[in-house]
Amino acid sequence: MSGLLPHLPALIVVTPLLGGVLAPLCGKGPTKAWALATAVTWVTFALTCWLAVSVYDQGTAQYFVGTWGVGSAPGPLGAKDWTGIVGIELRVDRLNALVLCLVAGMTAVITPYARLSVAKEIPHDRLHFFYAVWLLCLTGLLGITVTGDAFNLYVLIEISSLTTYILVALGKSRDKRALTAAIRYLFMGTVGASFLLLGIGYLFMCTGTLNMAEMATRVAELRDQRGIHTAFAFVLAGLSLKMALFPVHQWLPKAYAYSPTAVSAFLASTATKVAIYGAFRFLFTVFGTEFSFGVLDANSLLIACSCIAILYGSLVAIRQSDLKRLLAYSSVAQVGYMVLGMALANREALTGTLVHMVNHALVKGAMFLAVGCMIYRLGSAKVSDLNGLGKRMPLTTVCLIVGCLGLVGVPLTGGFVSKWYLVQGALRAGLWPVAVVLLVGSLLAVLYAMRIVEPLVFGKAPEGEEVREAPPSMLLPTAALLVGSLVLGVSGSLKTGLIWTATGDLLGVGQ
Amino acid sequence: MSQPPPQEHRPGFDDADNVVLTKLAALLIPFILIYGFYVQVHGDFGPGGGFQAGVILASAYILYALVHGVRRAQRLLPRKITDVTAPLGVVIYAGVGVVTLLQGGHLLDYDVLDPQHTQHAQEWGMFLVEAGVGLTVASVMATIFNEIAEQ
Amino acid sequence: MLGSINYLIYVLLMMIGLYAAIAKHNLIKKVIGLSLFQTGIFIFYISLGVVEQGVAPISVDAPTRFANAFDHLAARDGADPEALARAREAVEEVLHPHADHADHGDSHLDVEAPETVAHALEAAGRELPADQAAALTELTRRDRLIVDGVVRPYTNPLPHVLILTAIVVSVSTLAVALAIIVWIRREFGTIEDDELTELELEVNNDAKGGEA
Repeated sequence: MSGLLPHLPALIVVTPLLGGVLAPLCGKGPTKAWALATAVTWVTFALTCWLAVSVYDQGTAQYFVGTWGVGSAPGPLGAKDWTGIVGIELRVDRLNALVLCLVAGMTAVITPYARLSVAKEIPHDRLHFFYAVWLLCLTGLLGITVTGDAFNLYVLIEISSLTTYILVALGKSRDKRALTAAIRYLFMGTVGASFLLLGIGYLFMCTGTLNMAEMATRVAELRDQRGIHTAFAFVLAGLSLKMALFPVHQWLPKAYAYSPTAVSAFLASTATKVAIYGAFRFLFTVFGTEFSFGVLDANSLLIACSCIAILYGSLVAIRQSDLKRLLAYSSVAQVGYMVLGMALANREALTGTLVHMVNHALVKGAMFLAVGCMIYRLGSAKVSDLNGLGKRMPLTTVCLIVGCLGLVGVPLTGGFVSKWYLVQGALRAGLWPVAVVLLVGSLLAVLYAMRIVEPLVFGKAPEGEEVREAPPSMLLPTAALLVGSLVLGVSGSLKTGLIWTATGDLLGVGQ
Repeated sequence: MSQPPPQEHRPGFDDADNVVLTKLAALLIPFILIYGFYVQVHGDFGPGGGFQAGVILASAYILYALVHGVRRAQRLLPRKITDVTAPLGVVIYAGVGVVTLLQGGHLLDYDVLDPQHTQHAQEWGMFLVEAGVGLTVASVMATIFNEIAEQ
Repeated sequence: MLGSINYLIYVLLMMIGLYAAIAKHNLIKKVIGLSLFQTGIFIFYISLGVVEQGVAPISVDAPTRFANAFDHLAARDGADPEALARAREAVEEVLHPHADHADHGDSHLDVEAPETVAHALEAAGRELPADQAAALTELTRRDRLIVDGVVRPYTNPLPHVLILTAIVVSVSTLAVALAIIVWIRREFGTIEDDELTELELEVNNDAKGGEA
């Protein structure tokens, strides 16, 4: 078994890929392809955990795909040959190990849930394709996280995006607006990815390499070149589109609102997180903290955008009548929190961002899953449907309430820890207005959370049909995610854990 | 594909029998196929490879469908087959990677397929991978065409 | 100005594409705009790979490389034809040995292997003056091609390979986009963006009406 260890970075991408192409061969019907997908996601999760433990113990894992690792390539006529990384490198340090575990873990928990939920929202003769696309999307997301090659990153972003468009469009049998949401997402996503491609092209032009670690060393020498500045602008614009940062967030609410619910949970808890990881990788590793935030002063732009995102997302969320849209706009706000921590660029804020990433994935995933339980029994999920749900579906109600607490950031939930760190980070950076925005954002979150909690507890159930509690195979994953969030909130080992050391690595400071 | 087959006769879809077109297509299709296979196996020596070959091979199918009607083309190459071959190509690709892993090398490190003659190993590895790519691309192209033609 | 015309074209194409993707109401036109936008980027990448006087990076096998190199050296001023002929024979001996290896199908000579090429160069070096031997080494490198008596470098193939991948990605995007548009047409009956927005609002209002 230990012979597998050095190959883990490749295996965690190959496993879901193979699963994804085998799923359509399973034949039609709701069970077989689902069973395969569940098995594959859990195996992948186990592999990522194993990898994370090894990375945590022994430091960064490196892996070269193909025959060539470090080699020499001929220079142009008369020029010197250069030696460097020729092949595609997979590289896992503490930061990606964390994101890998998060993505694989969320998928592993959501896939068992998907069986009933998706069977209700998608035609049965498409189900095996659904799980194929589902696993391919996971392949793309894990690939983005694991790769150390900039162009490879672009290709994998496109793989995950293309599959995401399809997953969103599959929501059409519940609501045909899923189709327009998908095509609009496709337009914006493609423009974003193209900007990223262009940025990587400029980086390649200036540095002559596609390996991100090598780029980083060369960018440090070339920081005054205009090509590098252009590359920075394009990469930042492309990634902002992908992570739905404020001015370019319009695709997100619709895409989340109309896609099948399991897909909403999956996307909310993984896709934006991976895009934010990509931003981390480019801003901190490739361009370097000093260049991104010192030479180019990207932080003032990012801080402004994320502050507006927090306020705008929360305000619009308060006005929504559809639960999924409400949660989606709340996601826009949460992306703001994460980018804010990134832009503050000190250790407390970065830790806050990473904790928020994990916590938001768990909580928002759980919220969407709970909403999925409602849709499974009620057929829709409007705020008005919540009335008296406490009596009809008590367990789902508990999940929704705990989720709301987590979103607001009540003490003992992970949300409190992350916001605490973010506020600390803002104060350490000397930006007290930002700290105020964080607090106001939390107050607004209380408002939209109240819109969910209030009818749940005090609302009167409409007369008429009996509604039963959601089946355990849907409730268990929901509860599991919330328990995870609570554990994150009460565990005191954060300062020594994976997250704290990961931020130390990013900023290049010791333990 | 889930909806019932259309009742009314659809010219061009159900049949097409223009003598000039069918004769011309009968002349062209063999050459397209041979060219496709040439590009497929020639990929490791010069420009070519699975992607291009797959598209060329699929274009032969599409030409046939345009000239003889989609229905007849589908009888020739049923959806059941393309639905299997499309993922099968990727399985071949990933399978080569898994085999190299099992042989003790890195993913897609073809050298370990035949450690004594790495050049042959490289050729074999590339050939198999490109064959997988070609199979998938050809099937996917045909599927896309069918899917849109059936609307 | 003319040197950077590629880059001008790429920016122009990208802008036209982006304009169409934003301003056109027809979804198909938007998709075409998107494709143009991406094509602009492809031109950018392809321009990156250009090397002045570069030729297409198609590899030539070792015997041909040596033959070309000898022809080139023979045409130079101050070449010693006899020494060159001896060197040519020595290389011939290494690359096409007369020994009966043909019987063992598996162990036939690999002319591209670095050892074989080094061996051939060594054999030639014994017959040639030092400067000619060095020139031969340089001329027989795999990444050099002699065209009409001029040594020319290969263009950088990497951007082309990258862009091949990006083209495949953009074709997939196109396919997904068209598939979704076909669905939209079936569900909504239109592919005009502004009409779609109105229809979406109607769906919204219907939902609200049902609620009330």
